Amino acid sequence: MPDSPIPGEATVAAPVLEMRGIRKVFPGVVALDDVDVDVVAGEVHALLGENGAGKSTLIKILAGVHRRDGGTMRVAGEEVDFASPADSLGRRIKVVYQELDLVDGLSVAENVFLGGYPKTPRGLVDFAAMRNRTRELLADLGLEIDPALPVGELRVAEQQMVEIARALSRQARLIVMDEPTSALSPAEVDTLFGVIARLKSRGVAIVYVSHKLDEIERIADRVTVFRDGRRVVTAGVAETTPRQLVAWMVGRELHDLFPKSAPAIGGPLLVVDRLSGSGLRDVSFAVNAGEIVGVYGLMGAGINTLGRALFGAAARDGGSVVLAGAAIRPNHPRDAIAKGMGLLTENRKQDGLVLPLAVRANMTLAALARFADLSWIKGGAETRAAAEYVDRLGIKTPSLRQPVRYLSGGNQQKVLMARWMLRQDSLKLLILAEPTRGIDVGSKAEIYRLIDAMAHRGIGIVFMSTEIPEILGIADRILVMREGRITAELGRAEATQERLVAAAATDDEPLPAALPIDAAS
Amino acid sequence: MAAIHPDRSAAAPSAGGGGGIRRRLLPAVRHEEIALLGLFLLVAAFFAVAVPSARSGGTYLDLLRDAAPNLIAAIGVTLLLLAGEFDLSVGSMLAFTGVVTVSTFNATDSMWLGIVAGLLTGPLIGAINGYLVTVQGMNSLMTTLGMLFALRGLVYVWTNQTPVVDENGFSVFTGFYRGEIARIPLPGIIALVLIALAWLFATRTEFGRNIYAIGGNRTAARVSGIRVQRNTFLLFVLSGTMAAIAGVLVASQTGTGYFDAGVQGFELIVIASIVLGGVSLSGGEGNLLSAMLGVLILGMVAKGLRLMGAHTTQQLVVTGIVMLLAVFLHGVRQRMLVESRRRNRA
Repeated sequence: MPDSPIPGEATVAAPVLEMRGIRKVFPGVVALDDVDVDVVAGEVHALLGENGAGKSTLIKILAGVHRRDGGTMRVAGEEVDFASPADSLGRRIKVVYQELDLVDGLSVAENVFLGGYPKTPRGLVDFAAMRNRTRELLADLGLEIDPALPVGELRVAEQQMVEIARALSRQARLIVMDEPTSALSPAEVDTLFGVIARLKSRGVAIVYVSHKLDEIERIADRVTVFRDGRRVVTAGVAETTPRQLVAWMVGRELHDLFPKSAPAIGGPLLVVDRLSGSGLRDVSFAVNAGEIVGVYGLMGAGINTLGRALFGAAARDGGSVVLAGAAIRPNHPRDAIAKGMGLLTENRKQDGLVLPLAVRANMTLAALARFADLSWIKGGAETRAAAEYVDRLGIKTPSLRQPVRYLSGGNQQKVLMARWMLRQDSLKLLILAEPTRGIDVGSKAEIYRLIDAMAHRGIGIVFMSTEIPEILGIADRILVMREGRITAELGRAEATQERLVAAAATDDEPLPAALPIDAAS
Repeated sequence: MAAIHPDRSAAAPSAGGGGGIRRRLLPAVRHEEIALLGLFLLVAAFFAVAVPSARSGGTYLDLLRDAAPNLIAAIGVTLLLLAGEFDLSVGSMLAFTGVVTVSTFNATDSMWLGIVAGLLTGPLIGAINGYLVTVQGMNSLMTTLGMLFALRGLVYVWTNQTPVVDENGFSVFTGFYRGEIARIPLPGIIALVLIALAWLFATRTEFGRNIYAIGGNRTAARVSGIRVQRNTFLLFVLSGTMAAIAGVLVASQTGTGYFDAGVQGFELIVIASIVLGGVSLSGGEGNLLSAMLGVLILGMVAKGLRLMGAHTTQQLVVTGIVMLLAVFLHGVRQRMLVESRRRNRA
């Protein structure tokens, strides 16, 4: 492979990045406290930690989104102070976020050169040069994507590659990847790792943010573990074990996280028969009273659609959903609720919370009739009930009247749990879609405890998640979905990480446009 | 992790630093109503100094009479805006109901039939708006804009652009507009009663709470079992009804159905006043009483300028500037609130 180092990138003596004693304080929270990280050229340096451990804050400081409150930062030996993302880009640092910064309507080439289009002598945009240059950049990565295609038509994995090509077009010497595999199939992950290997070989430094241990073992040279805003350790990946990494990351044993008690499983409660529509294909399963059924799948496998289809919030074209003998009408969430179903949606800000409304009003939203006489709300009863749940769930809020948008993610999620717990007189089945996404590890443990307690009272639970550890930790039985179908059903005893991965994996080829890694040069 | 007691005030001690002054915000920053009341008093004080004739108490009672149609129409528009929908058709409805009312007087020689006919046009047109928006899924801004043009055009064609005069000269009708109880003008009393009812409705009933939920997050409202379409439809009917009441009141000023009543941007002034009162244009946030204060502030500006002898064209300039100032101050206040919340968040 011809080694074509990025122009100006001679063999550097100093590390590409040196962060010393970085401190960042948000109101009431020390997000980062005295953190040191250094990254050398040609290295993949993983940042590992639970949600809320400080990884995101660190990369936002690196990207110029946040300003640090203390510490020093050097890029290639020069002390820097980023006031904006432009400053960071100017130092040839590129952050590839989970939510990609691409313009869907523009072509691949236009996205790659966004903000710095090549010009013809007359000052017009040189589209031909742009397309050729893009094709070269992508070919360097071993990829063949048509530069003229609108980015919106690409798969997420391909869009990610466009972001990386964009970084190369700006001669990035440091690329930060924020949980890049969260939406990728195993084959696509392989392609990504091939690209990372190529970037490494030409001296680009990679900061790889993840909480997936297997990936870190495969791809990273060194790992820095974060917990509660502090750096726990920086170690060579070869010298650690996954067990050790978990201990560093969680700071406690994993079984403390899942307070799973012996289930008290009753008779059949929910019967789903050949449900289809909205991408679902012939989904049949049953849930018993008091049982926690986990549904695992990769992003896009349809697990969250299934939750909404059961509830009548996503269109269905066939099949039936019967809860405790009563058929649930399609497209009619109100009917599902009346018959004893509850749904905690996967995206709490987009379709769960009413952000401007108070904590109290958000809690009682689905149970308001309980507190109303002929539509007149009895404020006292409503306040008492809300206060009771604030206490019981340990929700941190200055007041019941606080708009819910000002609460932290974990507390917001508890507010949504309370919304359905307030209906417990009639609640028979609760569907939880990714209830722990983006919340801190302490709140996670409390959510698991609440779910376990609800199951013990005979409520059937359908627990959808893209995270294997929590599915294994909490479910009595696990369904695995792929492309809208159920591909496996495993009892708690027989479920392992490997079996879930195998059943969830798509069998498609690596990126259709991608060349084999070796064929590129 | 222990829960903080639910009713501790927002000024809970925080771990982070920060000055004490900023944390103890002015009441005017904390409460929109107080800020707006201050603005209203400021405007009133200005005119009291500038125009001697504005100093009598009668001016303010007159203001209540003059502003009554705006206040009443603004009730319906506010509730719709809280649910995240627009109603731009209220200005044309003002003219339409007025013309229907007086034409029915003349056709039937009955005042009561005329008033009933006028009032009934409101829910009818509101129902058409509501049907198009909720059942047909049309955008409310465009739907009611279409209704604005269609109704205005209908009134022009029907009246040939001449005022429809009450041939019977019903003095009870015009007397009502002039009437007062304990010096308070009757139109003002109607407005105040409707505002009180609407306020109780918005803050104390299940339906009212659902309005905020729908405007704040339609999907969340739906998956919480709220009948989003039905509630939205009913709000359009309510808004139409309020506009019709306002329209009949306007007609009773002189016993005439004016084809161009409300033609000078009545619906826009109503919406601007409401937003001035802190109601969010995207729905879910705001307070009916503040919106009403917004209406009164712009009403006071208009009245004061009239007393100063300013020409309508000059009034337009000043009204616009006051509006810009109010929106600017609203932004400043929002930023201060966000700042203080960030400081207090633990």
